[in-house]
Amino acid sequence: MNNKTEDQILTELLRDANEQPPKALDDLILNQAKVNNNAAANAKIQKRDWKPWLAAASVALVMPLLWMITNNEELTHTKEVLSTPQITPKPSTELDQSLTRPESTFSDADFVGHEQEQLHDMGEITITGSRIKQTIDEAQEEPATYIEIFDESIETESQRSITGKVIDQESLETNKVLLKNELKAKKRTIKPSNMNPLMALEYEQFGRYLEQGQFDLADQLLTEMQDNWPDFDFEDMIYRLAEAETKSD
Amino acid sequence: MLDQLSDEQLMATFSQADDVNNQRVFEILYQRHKGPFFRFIKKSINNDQDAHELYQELWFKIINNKGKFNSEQKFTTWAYTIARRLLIDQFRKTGRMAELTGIKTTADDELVNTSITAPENEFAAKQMSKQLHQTLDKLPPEQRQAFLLKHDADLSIKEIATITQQPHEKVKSQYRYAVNKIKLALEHFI
Repeated sequence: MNNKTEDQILTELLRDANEQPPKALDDLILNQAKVNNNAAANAKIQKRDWKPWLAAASVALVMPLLWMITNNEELTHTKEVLSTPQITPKPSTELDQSLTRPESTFSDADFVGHEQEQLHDMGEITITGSRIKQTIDEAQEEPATYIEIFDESIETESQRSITGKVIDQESLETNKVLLKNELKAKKRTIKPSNMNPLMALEYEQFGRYLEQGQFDLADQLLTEMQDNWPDFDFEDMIYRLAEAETKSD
Repeated sequence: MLDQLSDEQLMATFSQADDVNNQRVFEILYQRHKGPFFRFIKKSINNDQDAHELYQELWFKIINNKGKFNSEQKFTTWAYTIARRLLIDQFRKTGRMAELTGIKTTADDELVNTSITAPENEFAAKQMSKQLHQTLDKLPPEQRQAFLLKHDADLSIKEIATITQQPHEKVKSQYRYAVNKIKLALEHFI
């Protein structure tokens, strides 16, 4: 008898008893498998179900948000229009308000928001020469009132940007610095290669005035040069004039 | 149809949560292996109550870790590895670890030249089977496990070495000692 057969005999003898687990254990284990399967399936279903809900919720949240942002811009705009100080003429003046109201007191809404209305109103305005004359006469009689209104309007307008919105002082200063820097950056340096012949002659003349102590003439020439060639940087010439004046003192 | 699937294919199907057949495939897998697993644990531990607990724990681990099963691995190798770890834990708890690892080679372990012949009738087979099981219970745990895994679980020596994390030659030796003792025990039936 070979080894294989011997192995088979041993296996058969071992399995002859065929000992099996109790039925209760079988049921317990099979039930556990069922519970595990159901839990896994439910978890997958729940996971799958969340996706469309999540997408729908995202849309439902984003859309009103966009709508609110759009609306907020409009609200902000309207608020600014309403908060713009309105200068009204004093009640002592008997002039028609539509005429006495300074142009500067028109809000941006008057120009932008109600452009159509403005154009329509303009068509209906009728001003006679006598009424204009009357207004001028009254203004001349009470100059203080009109100067006050003018000053107020100038002050108000100086606090607005080109868009009509009020700029705070800080941003105004910042803008000034930025503007200066920008202008300075664009200025050309005064040197023989940059100057045209006429400017070169005037530049030489400026030097002669400084040497001769004719500072008034030098200053006058400098002003003319600044007017004629605004794209040049005259800081160096200004400094030379100031220095020469200080030395002569 | 499902009955024709291999253990690994059944396990792969069982691990897919959305498969409508996964309860059925588990039942097939369970029916195939419940006997060998139960006998392996019971023979290894020689205590009915502990054996039932460990057997249940083994299957629960298989169920709960189905996602971790690598289909390229043999199912029985994976399952018996889990079973053996559970047995080691149990031996540690009960202070029988030395019993599990210690292999005492006595004079009885010397190789015998006797061969086993098939029983002549059913009665003789029953008697021989009873004797075999009695002898098996007396074997050191490692030898007993090697014999059970070879003959009941149909595993090769190499696979047993993988499961028990022992050198191939050592497992081979353990198995030979186990067979030798059983042969000696069955000698008077020949």
